[in-house]
Amino acid sequence: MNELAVASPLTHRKGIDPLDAVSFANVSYSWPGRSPFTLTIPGFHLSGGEKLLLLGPSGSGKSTFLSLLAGIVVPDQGRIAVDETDMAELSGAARDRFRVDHFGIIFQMFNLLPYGSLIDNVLLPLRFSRGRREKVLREGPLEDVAKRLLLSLGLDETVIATSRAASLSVGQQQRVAAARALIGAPKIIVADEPTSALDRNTEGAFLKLLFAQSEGADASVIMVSHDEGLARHFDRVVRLQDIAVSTRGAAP
Amino acid sequence: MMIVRLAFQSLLNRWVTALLTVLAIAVSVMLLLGVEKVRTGARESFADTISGTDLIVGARSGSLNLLLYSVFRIGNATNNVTWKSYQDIAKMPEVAWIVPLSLGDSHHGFRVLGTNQDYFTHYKFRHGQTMTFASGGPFKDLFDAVIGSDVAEQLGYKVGDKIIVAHGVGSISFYKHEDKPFRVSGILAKTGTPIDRTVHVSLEAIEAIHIDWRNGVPNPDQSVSADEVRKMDLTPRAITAAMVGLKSKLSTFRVQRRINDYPEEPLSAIMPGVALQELWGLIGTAETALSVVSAMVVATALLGMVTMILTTLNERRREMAILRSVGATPATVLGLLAAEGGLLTLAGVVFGTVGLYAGLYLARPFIDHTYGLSLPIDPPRAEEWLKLGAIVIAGFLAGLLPAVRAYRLSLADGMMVRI
Amino acid sequence: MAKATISALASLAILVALPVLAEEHRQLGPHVHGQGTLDIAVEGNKIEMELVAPGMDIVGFEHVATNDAQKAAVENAKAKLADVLNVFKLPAAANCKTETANVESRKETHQPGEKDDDDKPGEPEHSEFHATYTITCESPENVTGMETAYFTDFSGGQLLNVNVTTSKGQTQAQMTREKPTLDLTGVM
Repeated sequence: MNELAVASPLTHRKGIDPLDAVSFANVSYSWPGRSPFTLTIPGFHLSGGEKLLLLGPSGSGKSTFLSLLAGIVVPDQGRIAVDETDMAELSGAARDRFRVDHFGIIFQMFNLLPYGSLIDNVLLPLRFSRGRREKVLREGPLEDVAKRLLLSLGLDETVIATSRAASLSVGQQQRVAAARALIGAPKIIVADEPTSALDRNTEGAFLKLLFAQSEGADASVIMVSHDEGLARHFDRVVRLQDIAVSTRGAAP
Repeated sequence: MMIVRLAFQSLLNRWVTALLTVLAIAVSVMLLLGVEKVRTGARESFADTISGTDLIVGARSGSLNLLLYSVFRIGNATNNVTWKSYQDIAKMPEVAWIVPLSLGDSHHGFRVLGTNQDYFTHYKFRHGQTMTFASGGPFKDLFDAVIGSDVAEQLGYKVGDKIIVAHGVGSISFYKHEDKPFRVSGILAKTGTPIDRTVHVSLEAIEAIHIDWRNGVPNPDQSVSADEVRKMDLTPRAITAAMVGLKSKLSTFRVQRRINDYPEEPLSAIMPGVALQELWGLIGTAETALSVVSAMVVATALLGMVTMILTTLNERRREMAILRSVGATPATVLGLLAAEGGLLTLAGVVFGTVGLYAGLYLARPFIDHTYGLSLPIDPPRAEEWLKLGAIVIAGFLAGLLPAVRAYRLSLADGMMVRI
Repeated sequence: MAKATISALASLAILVALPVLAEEHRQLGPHVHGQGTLDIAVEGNKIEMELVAPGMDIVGFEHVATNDAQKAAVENAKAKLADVLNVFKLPAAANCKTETANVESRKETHQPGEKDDDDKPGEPEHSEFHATYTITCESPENVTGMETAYFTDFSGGQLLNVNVTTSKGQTQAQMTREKPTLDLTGVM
């Protein structure tokens, strides 16, 4: 194996599943177009239940990495297995369904449909994933579960009942986004700098709440950021430049 | 279903622009259907200008020419029909009734028609309606005149007023029949036909006012006073045309042929309904132009909708990314935008249709009274349903245009939208 | 309406009044190959129809039939035309039947009742087929249209100018090879 694992500064938590939730092997992808950008990832893995911070400056290929991880794009070469499934083998629509079944995704900002209620926004993935909907239904009516989740992420009851997504503060929006990512217990939570718009205090609180929920659901968390200061919250830290090679210009 | 709900919520979020778009489409649909209604109404009113008359007979000419001068009082006959021929036709066994028409004089630009009492009972319009008198009654005296409603309205006449008929049909005539004034004996109710613009007098009166004229000018040597003329034989030597009613429709073509082949005088018999149809075929081009224009307006409204969706597209890129992240396929994203176009158009079509019928219902009495145009309030016909359906489909397809762009963007954006 | 129509018509009058667009009947009308005339008159439950069509449209020649093949063609065409309800199909609901059907082929200048005595075999002449029909219908109100096999039966026919008169009114329409139907809803 040609794996370049970066030693974690933190001790591994006990509950980590030795089985890989995600593994990349000899993956390479080029964006088409006039300014080609190629990302090559010889190897990468994410264990079940693991909390991983992926560090990299902007322009280092983080978004390409996440697009590959979530199956938005398919590698030109190599293999990406998620829950032991090679997403490249799935059809486009099946990949979209696979994504919602296995991933909860939180963006940097603007996570919410501005016209929906908070509950609507949280329930959005359940409309596309039967598996996650059924898991939620086992816990109770959809709205109730969504509301409990929002409460546990520290949102106020009146805010939940009365607000529209557009009227929330950024911190509140990110919590709703976290609830949407978590609902129905997907195996992997992907977060793209979710705290970049938050101050240090809010950031810590947000991550604590997020992890409390992800641990409860045995989900792995992979967060992308350029902020090394976040490292203390995670099981493992990986620098993108250590696992990946990015090339600009025409592919060789 | 979920796609429709999302599209709907998204639209509600942008309700002002959405409403304006719907309004634009609604107005364009109203116009399209309205033009169609006016077209049908005009066509029917036109075709109903004269009904119940089987044949119109005049001197040999084209059917349109004969129709235009005998019914629409436009243009002039090239020749007259002799009284003898008129009587021969009247005597045909198939002929139930015949009404003479004598044209050539005018009153302030309105044509003067010499005819007889039967004209008022046999001239039918709009599905067999006969003329009614708004005031007064048919002519009794030799110098009585019955005027159409437009004549009365524009010249401010009432029953009992004296009018002077001018020789010829120009609005400014050098010769007037000043020695023999007419008295308005009746004013007809509005018909929406050329009758409204006609002064009706008896055939004998036409003869009487010309009795002392030679070659189109008064003959000073032979001046005959109004009182003297009453004692004279006023049987006309010729008439301009005649309306013929037959006992049976089955003999229409036979009688028509016989008149056309009448050996003593070159005559033409036309079927007014057929000639009207031909005439409509000619002015129908304007009708087509109107339809084309209204179709363009619909296209413009749809274009406006596409513009509206496209301009909001940028701010909706993250909406697309969110939906993609929660498992929406590109097809869903595509469907969402196309559904939006479809919904907007559907709403526009519904509002437009409802609006048109409401407007029609309110404006109908006014239009009927002012223009003599009866607009039908009947449900859209198959053809119109097809048009409406085509608009909705076009709206749906127009929605695809921005949708395809959104789809491309959502592919290119991948998971990362940073706007 | 009256005003608008009249002003619209006034300009037209100039156009149509000068050149006399002769829409006269058969004997005087232009003999146009491909075009026939069908007159339809309806009164009560009786329908009378009259078809006049150029020989060219019906049999493909207009001289007097000389050889057996041509004579057979003329006879065959007459037989087909005589079966009026197959050439001009009326709605079944109207329950119509043919009372009389009279088909003749003759020269253009021929008058009804005249004898054809100047036909010289093989001489190029415009000749016409002339058919008159009487039909009765049990439910004439169901005669809302007509479908014709004329264009499939006779390959030379391109157009039939149809004139219709009924107690409801008169109308004019055209049946063509592309649209071999007639809508009578307005006048029945």
